[in-house]
Amino acid sequence: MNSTNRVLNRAVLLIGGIVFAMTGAAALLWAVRPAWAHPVLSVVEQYVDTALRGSAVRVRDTDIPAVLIAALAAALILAVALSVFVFARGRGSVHEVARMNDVDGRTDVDRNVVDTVLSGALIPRPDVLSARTGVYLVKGTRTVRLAVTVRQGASLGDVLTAAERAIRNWDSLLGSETPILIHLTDRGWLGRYRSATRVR
Amino acid sequence: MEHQPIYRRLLRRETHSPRSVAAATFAALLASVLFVVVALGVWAAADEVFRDRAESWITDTIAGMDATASLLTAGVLALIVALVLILAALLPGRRLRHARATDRIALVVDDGVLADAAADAVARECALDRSQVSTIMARRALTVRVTPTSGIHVDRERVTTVAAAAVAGAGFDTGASVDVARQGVIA
Repeated sequence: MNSTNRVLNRAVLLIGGIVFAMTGAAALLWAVRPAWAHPVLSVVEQYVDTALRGSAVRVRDTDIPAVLIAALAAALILAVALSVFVFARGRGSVHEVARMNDVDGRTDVDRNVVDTVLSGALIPRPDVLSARTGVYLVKGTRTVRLAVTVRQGASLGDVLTAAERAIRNWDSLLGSETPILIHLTDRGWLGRYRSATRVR
Repeated sequence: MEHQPIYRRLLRRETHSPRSVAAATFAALLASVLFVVVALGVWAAADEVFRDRAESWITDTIAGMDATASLLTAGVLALIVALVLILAALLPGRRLRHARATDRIALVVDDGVLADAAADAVARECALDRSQVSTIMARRALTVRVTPTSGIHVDRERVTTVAAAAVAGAGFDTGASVDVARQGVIA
């Protein structure tokens, strides 16, 4: 439910894949050296040679080819950009489920309130293992995600009816309709060891 | 009704893999390698002793290797990585979930939950042990496999109705195909 840019994810994977494919193909070409590739390979080798012998920067009595320095700088920029990309994943979760502006000021409703109303209504049920909520910005609108894990043998219809009843309570409490996603989740591999009945 | 554009976006995203883990892992690995390369490069430019040692090490390593064989291996490995990355980028990456929206809510149900609900309902209705019923919820169809208790008849029609009703409880309309094992078990 987060607002991660998924097109960017796929673009990074695709560009990385293409770069790796080109590198791999170049390595194979170099190893096999087929007759038809000789002109291309010699041109590339010549180009690399001239680039390394081109203008140089003097660092502590040693000449370092400017190409190498440019390559290091490019690698540094790319590494920083990739780090920014990694840390920009998974944004979009917000703390307030509603924000009401009035002439006298603003009222924020914390996400704990919606958690109490929705999860609080479901958790005591014997056919529910767990229920939790999160609030996310979707298309600029605060949207609630209600994730429910049902106990084995539960009737999905009953759980959904209870969830919808809790949502109606929430609507009347807030006075407006928040978009809500209900997610009935798998129990996970530990689930099979849980008992089918609730013991108190 | 006002929330339908939001629900359409949500349901599309919830039923497809975000590819965040793949992209972030790849980016983090590549960034680490690049940082190490930059650090070593700067060190070599600044420290003559280190540069000489690195140069002789590289020369020795290259001299000790079969150039063609290592290039071939590196090339094939790079192509395999490329294939994995390109497939991850282009395949739709559907998650095993069913989704629908009503006027008020959007609903996403993991396929495992629907399969479990159907299997539980069938086991209860036919008085079978839960281990005698197995179900698979695919994108369009529910498959139910029932192993009857020896000597007790299992009504295929009833199993179909019960399984479909359990899934319909969550509002999904899929037919069920039922497979009753010819050989029963003692339960």
